[in-house]
Amino acid sequence: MNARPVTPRNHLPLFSRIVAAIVGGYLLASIATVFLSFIVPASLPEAVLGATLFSFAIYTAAIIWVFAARNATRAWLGLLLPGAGLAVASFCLQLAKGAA
Amino acid sequence: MEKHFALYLVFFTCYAGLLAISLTMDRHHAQVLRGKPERSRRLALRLAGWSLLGLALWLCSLAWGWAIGPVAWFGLLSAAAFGLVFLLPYAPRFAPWLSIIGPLLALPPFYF
Amino acid sequence: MKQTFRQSMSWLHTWGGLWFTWILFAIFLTGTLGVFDDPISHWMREKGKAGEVPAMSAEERARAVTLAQDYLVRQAPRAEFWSIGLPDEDEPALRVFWRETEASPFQKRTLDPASGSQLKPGSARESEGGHHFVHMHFELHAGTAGIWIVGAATMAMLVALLSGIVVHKKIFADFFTFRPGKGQRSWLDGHNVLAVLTLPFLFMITYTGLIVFWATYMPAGIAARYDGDEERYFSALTDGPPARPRQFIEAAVAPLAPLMLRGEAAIARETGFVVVEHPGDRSASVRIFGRFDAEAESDRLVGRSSGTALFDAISGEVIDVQKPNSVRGGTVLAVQQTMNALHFVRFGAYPLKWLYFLSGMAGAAMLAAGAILFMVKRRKNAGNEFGSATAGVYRVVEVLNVAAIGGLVLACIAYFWINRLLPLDVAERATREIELFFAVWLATLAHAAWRTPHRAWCEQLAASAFLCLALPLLNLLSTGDWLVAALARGDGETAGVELTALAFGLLFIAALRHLWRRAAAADARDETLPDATATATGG
Repeated sequence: MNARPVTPRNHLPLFSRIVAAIVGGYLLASIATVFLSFIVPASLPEAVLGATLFSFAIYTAAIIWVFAARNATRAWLGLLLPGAGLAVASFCLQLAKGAA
Repeated sequence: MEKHFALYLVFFTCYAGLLAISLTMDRHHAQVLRGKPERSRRLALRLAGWSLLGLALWLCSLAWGWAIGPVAWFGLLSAAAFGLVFLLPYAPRFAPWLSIIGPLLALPPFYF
Repeated sequence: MKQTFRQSMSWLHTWGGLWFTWILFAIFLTGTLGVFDDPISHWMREKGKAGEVPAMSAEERARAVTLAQDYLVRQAPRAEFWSIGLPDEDEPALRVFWRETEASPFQKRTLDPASGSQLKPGSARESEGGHHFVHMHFELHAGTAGIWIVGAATMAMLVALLSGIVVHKKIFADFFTFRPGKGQRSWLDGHNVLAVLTLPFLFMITYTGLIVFWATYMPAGIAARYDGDEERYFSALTDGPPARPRQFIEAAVAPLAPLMLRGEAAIARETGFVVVEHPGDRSASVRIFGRFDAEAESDRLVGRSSGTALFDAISGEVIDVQKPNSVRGGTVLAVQQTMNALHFVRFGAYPLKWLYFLSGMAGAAMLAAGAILFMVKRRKNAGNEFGSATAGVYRVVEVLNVAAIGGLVLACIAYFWINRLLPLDVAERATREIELFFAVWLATLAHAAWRTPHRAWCEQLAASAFLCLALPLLNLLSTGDWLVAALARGDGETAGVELTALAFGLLFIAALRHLWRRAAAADARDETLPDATATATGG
């Protein structure tokens, strides 16, 4: 990527990665926070806090991943798949809580 | 331990420890003492260096306790490392002397 | 786009770092100055000359609170909250604060604790003092938007630290390496060594900086598990009484003085602050905060509670009492409070504050070296990153480097001069001081855009050096107090501010000499001037 002239063709994947890092990474970190708040072994308010304290590390890792991935598509997939998984898991945990 | 004295003592303990560790590296050994360190000297310096850094941490715990002590240790480690890093290119031959002169300067207050 | 992990991290470090480096430098520099916000305020408000403020008796405190309440009832009968700060050793005036609604700005007035009349500007050197740097540090004086900008920059810092470690292959081999006088090599060494030697500090201060505003930056947990009801969440987290939402029934706040005295008896400590939430509404509550005992807490990493007593403001019923030194909440909350404490360095008194100051300045210098390195590299060997716009972008980076680094340093020291030169009777003096600070900073930007980089660096450094070195003289001429007098009476705070300014002045002179020598050497070799700017330091 370094020292390459800017043309629309190599501009778009870069733009896509920046969006993936900033927005995608934040959404993944948010979903991970919700998921972790179900599984941190502490009282509910403490679990929410613990999950949030950890979320900034997740966000950082997500940004690093986006720029390390081989291409923009893989970068997005690497965020969306775990994000979807965590969202489904959180939803199930919430349902289980409601049933219990 | 009195805090300002601890600050002083730990700074020079860290300095001496970091100096010893830097001397295990060919580049800095050549700068300060000329030539390459022998294997045995390298080991001795490494042992001395890490022991001094450990001693510094223990001194910090005496002065500040184990909650604040490590924070002070990290800070003093950085401060001492800056001293060493800027001494090495400008006055490499003086670097070992500082580790002796520095602690000695702390002695006079004890006689008064 | 086949590249190694290190190559992608190098790209991320360079470009991610560059666009945030100026704002990060501002956050680091002002945050580091903010470590000494109290001594700076002490200097700016001429506290050194004032004698000891005598301790107040219970009757005097009760009288002061009553006067403050009368004032607030007249000024803001239905505010969102009132806050009353009782006089203490740092501040002899009675202070009242309020906010009309959550969206409106904070109001602050200072009152005479004996008569309740508003203190006229001019009776004291009204100034934000060192708080200006603290506000710059966490919100850039831009409110919520500023907090988010700082948060984004802090995330960028975290990413830049990690990617920087990957890029810097020889961390251990180069641990002690600084090779001065070698242009680009020296800048890279300086950038690396400053970062590596303070790496634990940098990670700690960056991560804990995000944690301070954790509920703002990452509200997902509270949103999902508590329907976003922060009041309910925080009262559960801290084992506090339930939140008291507004009832929209008019009711007058009971006299505060007796409540304050009952609160003092309950926590067995003098009052520092009295806070009333929702005054004028049936839901109003009064909280008495015990005075913070800084000396007793300086040996502890996490300061203990100073004690609070909460009352129903209408009926005067006790809702909750937390004794001084008691602990509430569980392990995770303790972890979060430890992280906060590590960030704010309220512990350990001056030795620890100086270590933070040194590490913070090293961090700022590391950022400055990185920004300058970017241009030094490209002056020698221009890339073509922006096609035909490349030269223009480089010029913008060059100008921003000067203004964001040299210019901010100049504006910070100029703020001390503004404090002494602005007449005492100017309306809203504290705000004017800060506006002038920004005006100076803006002027340095114009100056940087007007001059060649070498001249801009030299002139701004020279101006900073002069302002730093002449600061004791300015103080002597404007107030009659100065370094020597302060040292003679054992006023370490006033003396410390001026001695630190002198030290920075000498540092800037050394940097200037270095710049001039490099420029002369470049002239002798008949080279072009711009390369010599490579040696400018950020301070």
